[in-house]
Amino acid sequence: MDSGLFAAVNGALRAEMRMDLLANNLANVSTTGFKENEITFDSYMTKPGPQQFPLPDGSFMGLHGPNTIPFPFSNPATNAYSVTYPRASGTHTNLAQGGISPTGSALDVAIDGQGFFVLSTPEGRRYTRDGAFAVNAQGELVSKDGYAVMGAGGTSLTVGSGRIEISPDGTIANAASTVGRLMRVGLPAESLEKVGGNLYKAPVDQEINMDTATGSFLQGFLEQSNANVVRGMTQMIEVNRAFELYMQMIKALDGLDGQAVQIGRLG
Amino acid sequence: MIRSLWTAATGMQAQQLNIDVISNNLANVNTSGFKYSRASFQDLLYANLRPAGSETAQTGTQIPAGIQLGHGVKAVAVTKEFTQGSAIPTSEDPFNVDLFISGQGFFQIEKPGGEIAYTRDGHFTINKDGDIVTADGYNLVGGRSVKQQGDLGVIIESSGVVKRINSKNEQTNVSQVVLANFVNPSGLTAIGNNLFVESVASGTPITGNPDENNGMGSLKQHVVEQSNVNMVSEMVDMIATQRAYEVGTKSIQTADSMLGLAAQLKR
Repeated sequence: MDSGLFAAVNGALRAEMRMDLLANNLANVSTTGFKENEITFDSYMTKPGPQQFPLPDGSFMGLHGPNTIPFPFSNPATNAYSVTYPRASGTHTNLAQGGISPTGSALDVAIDGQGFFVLSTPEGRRYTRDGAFAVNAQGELVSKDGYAVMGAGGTSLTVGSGRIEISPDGTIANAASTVGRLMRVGLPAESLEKVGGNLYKAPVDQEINMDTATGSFLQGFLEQSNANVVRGMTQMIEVNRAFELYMQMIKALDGLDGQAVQIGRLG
Repeated sequence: MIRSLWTAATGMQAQQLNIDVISNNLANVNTSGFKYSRASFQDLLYANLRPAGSETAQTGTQIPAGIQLGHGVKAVAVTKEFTQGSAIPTSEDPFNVDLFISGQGFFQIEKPGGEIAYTRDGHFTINKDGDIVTADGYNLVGGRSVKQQGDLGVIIESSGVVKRINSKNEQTNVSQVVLANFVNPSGLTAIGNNLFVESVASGTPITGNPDENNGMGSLKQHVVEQSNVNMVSEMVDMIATQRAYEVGTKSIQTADSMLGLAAQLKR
């Protein structure tokens, strides 16, 4: 009885977690370079266990059967449940390309294809798809948070004042000369960790050099969020209904408990 | 659940800021020398409920993808875009000293306290002392005493040289308009009345004469720079913003409905 209740509560908690995730995706529909998260669930089957509670003399209240009986009469200490719980196994970042929209600003760059810009932060290298850059008072190309954008070779890019031209391979030129080349690295999706501020953290040794890879830098464009509003809304309805179902289950199981209590009162 | 309520609220706040910025842009569609702004957003911090790479209790294998739940969105910057506005010819009156900068420089304006402010608004007139002044009566640097009694006109050349034409139709150089530029114009502080002042982020002004291939650009008399607001893209942004706001309200409604269902459990 109780195990069913816990399974329903567990389901409701997972639905809540999914709702949190969906709300975050939908809150970021206009965040430059945002990649939506997805959550996957798997079921968690508690092991039936070899040591089920042994019957003292092969019978229970006069009933004969197998020498062991399953939950709920089994001994909880032996962990002999056999109930399936839903369980969140992980959130994944959907790295699909977001829409590319023109902005007209020379300091906006979108990556068409795979890979990330590399930013130098006080905590080390961070990766981003948000190419809305700016120039700081020293003339360096920086992110909107002021972190230096790294050029190939791991140096910062000093672009100075005036208009800059960024070619599809990332070469940056100002009016006077070529100042460097934007660094772009690939990273395995599973090692990316979102740290907020449109940034990702990943072990530096997992960087994949993408200097010669396909895909290009587009100056004057920004990558839009890839959060899918239609799917998000549909999933939200689904979550809402699933949650409702779990609540109904809890009520039903509670009702059963109540009836069991009534039986106890019959005598 | 409470998490998703607040997550959705951050999304709505962000869209509210976005609509504020768009409204200001649209309100200034006819303000000469106005530069439109754009709000940029970033995702907020993530809660790591289950870090990727940690070992599972059951089998000792590493978790390939952890569980990360985001907390919504924040505004990171409202950036002015200093792209060139279109040129609007004004009258050909000999004393019309409207100026247009074809390039990146700013006019230097002397505020009454002596502080220098910067503007792209080239809507100038000549005051009773014969000085070139803004519509608010502030002096243009390099525009003193350009007109005397009985003069026939004022000529401002593309290089910023100001010439007066005296009553005998003779031209004499009287002053030189000097423009200023910044490493990071987006870092300037707007103080209203189409004026900007330098900030730590903008860097110190670099001054120079127009039309000398120094990035300042050249001057054109009898023309003013129109606002660079693009009505069509602002309207499209407005639609997108309104819909994103609507999606935020749906997230809140769903979270609220789920909370309501949970609250009904207790009878």
